[in-house]
This record gives sequence, C-alpha cells and structure tokens, in this order.
Amino acid sequence: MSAKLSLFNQIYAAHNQMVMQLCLGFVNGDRSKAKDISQEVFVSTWNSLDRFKGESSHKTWLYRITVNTCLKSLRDSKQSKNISIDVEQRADLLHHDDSTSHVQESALSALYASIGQLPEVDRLIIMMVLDDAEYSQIADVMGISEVNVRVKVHRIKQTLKKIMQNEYAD
Amino acid sequence: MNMQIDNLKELWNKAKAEVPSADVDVPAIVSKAKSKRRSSIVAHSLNITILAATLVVITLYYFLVMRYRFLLSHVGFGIMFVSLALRIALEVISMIRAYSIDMTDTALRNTEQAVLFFKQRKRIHGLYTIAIVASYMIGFALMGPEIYNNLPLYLFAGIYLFFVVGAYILIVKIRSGIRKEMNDLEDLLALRDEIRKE
Repeated sequence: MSAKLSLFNQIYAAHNQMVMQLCLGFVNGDRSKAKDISQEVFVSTWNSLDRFKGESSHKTWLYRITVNTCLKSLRDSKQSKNISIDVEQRADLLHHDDSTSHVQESALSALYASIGQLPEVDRLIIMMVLDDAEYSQIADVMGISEVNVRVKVHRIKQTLKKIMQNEYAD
Repeated sequence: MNMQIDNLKELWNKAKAEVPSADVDVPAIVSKAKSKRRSSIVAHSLNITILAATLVVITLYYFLVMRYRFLLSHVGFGIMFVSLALRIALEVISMIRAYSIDMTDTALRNTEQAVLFFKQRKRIHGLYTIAIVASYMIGFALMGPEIYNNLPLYLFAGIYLFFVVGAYILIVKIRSGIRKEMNDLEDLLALRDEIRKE
C-alpha cells in the first residue's frame, strides 16, 4: 500500500463520522445530500493530500476542506438557501437502534433542524464548537481572528437558543 | 422540548456515535478523485482546444488554400488571428486562476480566491469578449470581398449565413454564462462579507 493511500485511510477512519455529521448539520439532516458532500470532501482530500504540509493537524485540515466543500455546494445547488425538510425526513437522519431513546431522538432531530435555520457560515461555526474545536482552530479554519470567532459564537448561541425555544418549547 | 444550549454539546457528541458513516468505499473514492481531476482538466482544456483548432484551420486556410491578394484580406486575417490568440490566452489565464482555488485554504481565502476568479470571468465575458467577438467579425467581414471573388455565390452566402447564425448562438451562450457567473459572484461577495462580519 502506498504511503499516500495509507495516510488517506488513516484520515478517513479517524474523521469520516465528523465529516458526515458536519455535512448532515449543514444540509438540515438530509442524509442523501450529506453523503454526496462527504464524498466530495474525501475526493478533495485525496486530490490535496500531496499538498498537506503538516502545518496544522489532520483534523483542522479536514475541517477546512469540509467547510469549503459545504460552502461550494451552495453555489452548485441554489436550493441550499432554503434547505428544508419535513419532520419525517429529519427523523430519518438518525439510526433507529433500540439504544436510542425516543426523547434523545427528538432532541437530535430538533438540534439538526435548528442548526439548519442558521445562516450557512453560522451553521458551520456552531457545529465546530459542538464538535469541541478550539476557538483558535475555528479561527484557523475560517480565516478570521479568534476574537471575531468568540463574538460570532456568542451571537450564534443566542440565535440558536431563540430558535430552539420558539420552535420546540413545549 | 426544553433544551438548554449547554446540553447541545453533549447531545452532539452522543449523536456522533450514531451518525451513519459516509459509507465511502476508499478505493472507489480514490478512483473517483483521479477521474474527477482528469475530467476537470479535459473540460477546461476543451474550450482552449476548440479555439486553438479554429486558429490552426484559419491559418492553414490563409497560407495554403486561399493565397489572398487583397490588402484588406491580409488585414482581416491579422485581426481574426490576434482576436483568437487573445481569447485563447484569456482562457488559459482563467484556467490557471480556477486551479488556484485551494479547498484546503481557510474559508475566507478560499472565498476570496473564488471571488477573484469570478471577477476575472466577469471582465473576460464582459468588455474583453465583446471586443474580441466584434474584432473577429470585422476581420471576417474584411475578407469578404476576396472570398466573394473566389467562391461560388451559394458557398459564399452559406459561409456568411453560418457565420451570422454562429455569432448569434455565441452571443446568447455568452449572455447566459455571464448571468450565471454574476449570480455566483454576488453570492460569493455576500458569503465573504458573512465570514468577515463580527
């Protein structure tokens, strides 16, 4: 196995679920679109692997490709401005195994749906926050200052809270 | 549903374990990546190849077939040649700019690179293309008197009719391309502002 393929396998195994989850959140839980975007992410990863200089971690590097691919998907498909799917489709994004309680399932469904109501850039930033990315890492992915990330995250959290309270408070 | 924002991270991490895998077959991705790179190069090169083939055909026709005698024809050929050569150069520059959009760069720089690409396309499809198409048509028209002298009327009329129809199709295609690229540019500018905004 070539070194390139071995590195690709390693990156894929470590981060494919992170990529898929970010894509799912970006497209409001549409599994088919998320899968397409995830595949594009890994196609770009393969094609860019020779240029990986190790200046950042593999995860930060993959965040960048995922964020850029998600944003590019907006240009490729104009529908993304109003991505909306119905409740049944939202529920479909989850695995329906016995270990997942109904309450958690609805909570997750609500989370994806609420994230989907944020502007595209905000969606990506809050998903990286939820994914435990450091603010400095998010700044490095987005190309903005860490202070700007903090301000954005504060605002996005408030917006997300309002959305969840308005839509799902009962 | 009563959900606090602080609980979202925990929920997100629980969800990660249940997120379906991208279900990607690694060899298939590698193969798709290679074929995508090839087809991208072919697609970008196609336009350049067609333009270059046209340039070769009119040059061969000029030197080997027609053997023009009128000064007007030589000027016309010169204008056509320069117009086509300029168009090819612009396409090559555009292709280089397209390849410089780096998916591994920051979101802001990636967007700025795409903005530069579409701004360049706007210039190419705007004033440059209008000037090039117009000069190409003028060049062809200047060759008309000599072509008329050397060809039967039906062939001459056929060539010029084909030329007019071709020019019309080209203009319609360019206009639709401009419209799409301008929409993309507007979206990218809005996206760039959104990334920068505090």
